[in-house]
Amino acid sequence: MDMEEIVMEVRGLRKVYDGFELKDISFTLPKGYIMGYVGQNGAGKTTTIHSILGLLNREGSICIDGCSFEEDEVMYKEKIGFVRDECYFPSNFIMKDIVRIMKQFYVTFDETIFYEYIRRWKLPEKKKIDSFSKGMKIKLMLSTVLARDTKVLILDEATAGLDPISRDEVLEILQDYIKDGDRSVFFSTHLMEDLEKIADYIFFIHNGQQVFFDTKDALIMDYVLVKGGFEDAGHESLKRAVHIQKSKVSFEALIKKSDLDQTKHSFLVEKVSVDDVVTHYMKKLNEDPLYC
Amino acid sequence: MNIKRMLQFTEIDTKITIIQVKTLVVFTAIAIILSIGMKQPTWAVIYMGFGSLILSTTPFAYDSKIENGFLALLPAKNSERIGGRYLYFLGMVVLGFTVGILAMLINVLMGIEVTKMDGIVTMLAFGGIILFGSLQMLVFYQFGKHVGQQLIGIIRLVPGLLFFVGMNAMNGLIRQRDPQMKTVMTHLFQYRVALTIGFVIVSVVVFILSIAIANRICQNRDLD
Repeated sequence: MDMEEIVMEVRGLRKVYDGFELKDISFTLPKGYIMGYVGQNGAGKTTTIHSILGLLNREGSICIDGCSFEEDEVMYKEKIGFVRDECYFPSNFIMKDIVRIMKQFYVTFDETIFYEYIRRWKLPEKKKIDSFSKGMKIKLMLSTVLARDTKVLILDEATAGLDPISRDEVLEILQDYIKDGDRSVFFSTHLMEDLEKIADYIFFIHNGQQVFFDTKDALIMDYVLVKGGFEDAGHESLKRAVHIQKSKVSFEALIKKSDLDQTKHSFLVEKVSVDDVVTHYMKKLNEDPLYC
Repeated sequence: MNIKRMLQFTEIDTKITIIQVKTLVVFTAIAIILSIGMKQPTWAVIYMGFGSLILSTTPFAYDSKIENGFLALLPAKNSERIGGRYLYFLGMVVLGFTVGILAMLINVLMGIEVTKMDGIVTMLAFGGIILFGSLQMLVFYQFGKHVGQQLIGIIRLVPGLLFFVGMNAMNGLIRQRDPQMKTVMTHLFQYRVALTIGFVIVSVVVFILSIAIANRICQNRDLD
């Protein structure tokens, strides 16, 4: 892929902590796309994000729109918009304090656009941040980010605390953000329905390692769910299943279409959702950490 | 290093800690009352030095993992952020010192004599604040991340107390009537200006070194 078509490139990202290691994470995010970054708690999602943000000393290379942190730290940070699940603004600040900081530091910050969002979401301008609800805080962070000219929007579980209407609103905003084809979104989430709605790429991380990275459409096309009676769970056609979930009376198996011999069984075969794929992989990896 | 960005970080630190900054008023009142009550104008400067040293580390007490992340994300170098915090410290020092001088002037207006020795002690106090403060900043940069917020509140008092006790001891030494000490002091007194200026210069050098070392400490440290 041409470098000019890529908004974020991560190569060989590695970070070692006591008892945890992020191992050789690599991916490219093309311009105009949304990438979902999924994994269990403690899988390494936030470590990856903090590495991209330049908050951690790490190995490997990370480029945002052709610029690396090491080459030009200031320009690198200008290109990133970050929203997380907890508000990062000082709690005793009010709106005008935040606007002042944003104007001082960010060259492209547009106060008019910022206040458009503030008024749209009816966020109080004279109250201290610590009096805001969780949803209001996330909208405030989003307002500051959307009022800047960034290349990539990074969200770390940002939609988790929102009510369904607000969440839908945010997802719509993310889709608007990438419309010009020059910007992309990278978001980590536990909410599979968000991924189903808007993600173009899915990266699944487990225990610091990449499990898979593919387009959402390819995942949905490549896998199927096979269902049948409990007694058939060991059927030979399911030998290469990723994971078989058994209950007292039935089973459900995730398997690649190419690994399923359709002629050898009469099970129910269904289309998968992203949630199905991710959940089965998570369960498999919890049972067998060396699976991938 | 961009001085403008450093000052912007200083402004952020000031805004975050504004409630505590306002307690300078209380320190001022106590300084004035003490110096008038003790009939020693230098008490004001020494006490304000104590207050400045405590207040100058307030940003460390307010540091939170989450807000730190925001500050670290601002498009500026980490060295500028550290520089901004040192400027905050200097600002507290200058503010405290200025108030101390004003308190001394109030002493003069109230008819309390201010001698040349008071001038020397004042300059020594200024140098002492810079020296103690530079070292305490380093301690906070080196260990502050690993210490809980409540412990930080206690640790913040220590350098200020050491300065206060040390300066008062020195003040007493300079003025005491013990014949042996008086001989030593009289001998040193001949070089009072040079010694004082030398002490201030050393303090400023330590201040600059402290910034460089703090940058080195933070260079390979994770910011989250």
